Amino acid sequence: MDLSERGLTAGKLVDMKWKLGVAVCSDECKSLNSPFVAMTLKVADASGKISTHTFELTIPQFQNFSEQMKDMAARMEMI
Amino acid sequence: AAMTEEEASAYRKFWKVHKNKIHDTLVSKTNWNNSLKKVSWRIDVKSQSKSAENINEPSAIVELQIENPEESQKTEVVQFEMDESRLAHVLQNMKDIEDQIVQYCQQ
Repeated sequence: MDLSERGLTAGKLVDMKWKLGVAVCSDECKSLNSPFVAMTLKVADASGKISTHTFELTIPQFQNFSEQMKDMAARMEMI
Repeated sequence: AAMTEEEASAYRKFWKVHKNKIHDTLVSKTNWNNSLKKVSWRIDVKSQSKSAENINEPSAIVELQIENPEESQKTEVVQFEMDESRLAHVLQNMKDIEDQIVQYCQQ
């Protein structure tokens, strides 16, 4: 069932927090040198109950996410 | 016994060809937090309501599939809606992050 077929029970995005970090090294790799974006989203359901969701993105993953948001905004503007 | 020049050359060649992939694999193994598996979205338009006619208000419905690396069977699905102003706020966040990436990460 894809997104266009689902009934509408989406919550509302009430907060978004982010941080940009760099993974310096690990037990397996002396020089990771790997930037990442960590995000936390808070979504309120119809009853007002808030759920928190966090995830971590590599820079290319973040850029893809950001592109999607821009696409959405561009489409919304056309309406 | 030390390596022959031939062996050393083979190792160098292997490393040169595969080092990025190896590094990326090592990097992904060190994310023990959730990762974003998939992003889907659609735009809905509310065209009429009981109290107001022809409002034509678009809203973005987003679905995120969030995966935990330790328990990849369990995918968390999060759905939320954003109106134009909330999406604008999200885009500002994206821009702020991009600016910080440019400033701090010379890749």
